[in-house]
Amino acid sequence: MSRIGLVDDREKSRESYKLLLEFPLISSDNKDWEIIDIEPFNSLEDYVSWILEDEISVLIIDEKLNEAKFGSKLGHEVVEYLRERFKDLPIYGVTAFEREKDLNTSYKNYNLIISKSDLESKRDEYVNLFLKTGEDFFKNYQLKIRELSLLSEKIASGNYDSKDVDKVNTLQTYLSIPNTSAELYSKQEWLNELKVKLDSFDQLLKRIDNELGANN
Amino acid sequence: MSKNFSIDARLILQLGRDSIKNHTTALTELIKNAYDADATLVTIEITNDYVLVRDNGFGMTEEEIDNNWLVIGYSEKRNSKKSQIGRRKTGEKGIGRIATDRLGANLRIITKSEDDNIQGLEINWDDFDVEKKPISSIDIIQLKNPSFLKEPINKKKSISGTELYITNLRELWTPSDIEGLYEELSYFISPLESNNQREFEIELITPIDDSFSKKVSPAIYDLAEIELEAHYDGKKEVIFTLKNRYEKGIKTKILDINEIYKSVKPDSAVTVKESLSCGSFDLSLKLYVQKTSLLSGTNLTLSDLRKFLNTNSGVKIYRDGVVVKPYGFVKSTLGHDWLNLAEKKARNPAGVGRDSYSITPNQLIGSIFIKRDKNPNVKDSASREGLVENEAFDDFKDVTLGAINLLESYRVEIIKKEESKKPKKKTTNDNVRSITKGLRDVNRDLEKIQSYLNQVSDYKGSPLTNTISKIGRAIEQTEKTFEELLDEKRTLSGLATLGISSAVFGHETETAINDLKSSSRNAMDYFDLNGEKAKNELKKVYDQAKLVAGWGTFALTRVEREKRIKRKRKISTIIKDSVNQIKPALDAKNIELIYELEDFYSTVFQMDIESVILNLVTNAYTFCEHPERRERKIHICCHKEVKEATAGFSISVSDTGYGVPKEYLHRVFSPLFSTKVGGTIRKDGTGLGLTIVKSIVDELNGEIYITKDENLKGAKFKVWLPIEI
Repeated sequence: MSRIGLVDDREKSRESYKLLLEFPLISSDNKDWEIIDIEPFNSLEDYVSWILEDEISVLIIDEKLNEAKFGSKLGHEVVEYLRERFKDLPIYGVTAFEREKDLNTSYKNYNLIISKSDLESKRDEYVNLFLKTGEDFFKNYQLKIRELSLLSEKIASGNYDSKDVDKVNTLQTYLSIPNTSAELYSKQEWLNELKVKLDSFDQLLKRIDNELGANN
Repeated sequence: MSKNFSIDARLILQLGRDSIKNHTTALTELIKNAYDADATLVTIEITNDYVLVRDNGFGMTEEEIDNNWLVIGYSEKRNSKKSQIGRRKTGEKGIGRIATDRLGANLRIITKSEDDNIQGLEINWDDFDVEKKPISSIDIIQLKNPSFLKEPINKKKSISGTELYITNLRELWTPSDIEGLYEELSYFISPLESNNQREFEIELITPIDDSFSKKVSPAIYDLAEIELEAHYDGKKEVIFTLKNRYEKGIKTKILDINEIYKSVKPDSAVTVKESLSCGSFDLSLKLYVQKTSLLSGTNLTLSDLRKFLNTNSGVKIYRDGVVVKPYGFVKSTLGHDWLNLAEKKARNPAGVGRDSYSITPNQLIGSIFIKRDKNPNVKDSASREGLVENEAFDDFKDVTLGAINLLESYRVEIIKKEESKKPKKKTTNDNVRSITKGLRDVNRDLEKIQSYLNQVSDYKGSPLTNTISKIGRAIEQTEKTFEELLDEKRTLSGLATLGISSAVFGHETETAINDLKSSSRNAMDYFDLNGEKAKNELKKVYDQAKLVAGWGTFALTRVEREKRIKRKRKISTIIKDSVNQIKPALDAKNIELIYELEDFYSTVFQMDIESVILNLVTNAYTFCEHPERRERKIHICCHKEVKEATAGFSISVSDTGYGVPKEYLHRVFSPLFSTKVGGTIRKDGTGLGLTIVKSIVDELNGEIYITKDENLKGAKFKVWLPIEI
């Protein structure tokens, strides 16, 4: 089962939006999806663990998260943080107030920002969009997990090359799992780069010598 | 046989004495003569024993003395209005020579033209002060071997000029005479030439007030708003003296060189210095502001000042009295603003109301005085003009920049002081009151005239009585208009308050409408599916609808006629009722309202009190958020309060926000000013709410204070109003 996560700080209104979005699922007898609603977390890290543990495939997040709740981050601030960790997770912003300046400057972090009134009037289309992007994400995610487990097996059996290690690292980053060989890898990379730069510097020196020699 | 007039010698003296007001005027006549003689330098020495005026003009030949100077009333200036080098001549009456009589009884004149030998005469004016003696019969002594006390050297480096040595003074010069003279002389000096290329200079030497023993500078120099002098003794300290145009007295400040360095380069690493490598030097800075009030008492205009600054601004460096190019020269692109003041201003264009205020390079005229033997580390640049920008150079540059910082903060300080001295502005109400009173007086007088005229039958029904009744009607009309205007103003304040609340709480309405829409849809969708859920949603619809309707009522009742009538009302009720109307918005944000209201009555316009409380609460609603405080509270207080023996009451509104930053305190009441604090705080203030509050408070002769609330830690706005029974 896949999950849509819904974040809003006002309980009654969150409840209503959950009902609103659930209705198309109920009436089409779609049992693959469920909607989980939560109130904002106090820390940004908590969002990450919630998404991983509950395997959230679509995130719907209200902008004004600090109205009923004290000191909470605003929606766009949460999304900015999450986007760095989940490159492909479909994230939709919901706002009553479309003219919010901050929200518009961080548009790029969202898949879409939807006004509450649109969400109500074009509910079925939006729910369809949520499910489609969510399914894609979910499939891709499952695929990556499978790939990772295959590669891990390969590495464990000792039968691997450096490309495999790179792939594992990429997959781990993508899936927000801590990298195991990252440090070693990055140092080697740096040394390689340094060598390339030193070589080109040597060549530059030679060229300067030649030029000077030609002028004399 | 024909007859001749003969002139009594005394008459000539009388003429001169009558036309010359005082000894200062007499002396300036002599300066005018020197100017007309194309002198480039005039030296004036004044002691208790003698007055000496020496110029390096073209002097006089013996022939010129005989044909011109000794012919009383003759003025060469009538023949040509321009001098040889094209100066427009200033004196015209030919009375300069008699002016010397006004100064002292004895005159010795030594003069040398390039075309003749040195000449000398000695005159005792008292010889002329006798009765019945023709002027031509009085002898003037021609000196045999005349010599200058000090030879005047003209521009062409040869000797020419005139020296007037006056003794047996008629009047002794007092220090205040000297001050007045200096001021007179300062108008002779062109402000549009820079110090180093002046065409005409006057040097005053006098032991009577030594502070005026100097080259006369243009009057415009004294228009500086602030003057700063600095002396660095070559060790650890710099002594600054500051004075300004508004108040008497000098402020002295001593700063450690390390302190100055830190103020100039706050980000650099600290290295404590014992002394600066540049060595001791002096600095003088004058700040000019283009402000008409600074020109009062002079005949100078703002455009004079502007021209003057355009040619003279800049901080120049003088070494052993010789100016070092290109520093501070207006024409030098890089040199003029070598201290980079323009860049500093561009980075921070704050006005003088702010602590971070900085001046612009064309407001500043300054001089740095250095000496070869005292400042050996300041070296000439080998390749081009200027100085080597070494450590020594940087040192005195830093001290200069430090001095400029000091000048800037001094200006912020004195301008604040000046602002606070300004009398409180009259409110519209005061004005209306005084005009109305005036009109009533006029009306009463007119009635008296009218009743008198009615007794005099001739005037009955005449145009005059008609006019009087017309004026009477006009007065009546005016008073009515005033009342209407005040009512209109009140209505507009009320509407503006509504506008502000709508802008701030609009979000709330929008949210309520959205919630209403989705809940009603849910109610319909789930009606068959799940009755309980549908019922629940329907209840939400009802609540949201009530909310939206509440906002409608709030808008509609804002400017009711009843609220614009002055009447005895319970203040606490007005406060509670109007705050209750916006309570849903406060609830949605979990803002806790705390009331502390005393019950009493005052005769008020309800709308005034509502505008005050609604704007203050709207403000608190916007700013009560603080990330470190896990609560949002607004505290509303109202009680009777006697202030300076006047019965009154106060309304205060406090919140849990950040409070008003100190630098904004004096500006929050200015129209359209809004503090824009980033982060999780709402940023959209309209900048009108507090302006309305302030204007109402002023109208009602009240007071408004901003402080910090001791309990809630946020801002506290307190309004005090006189009570009317």
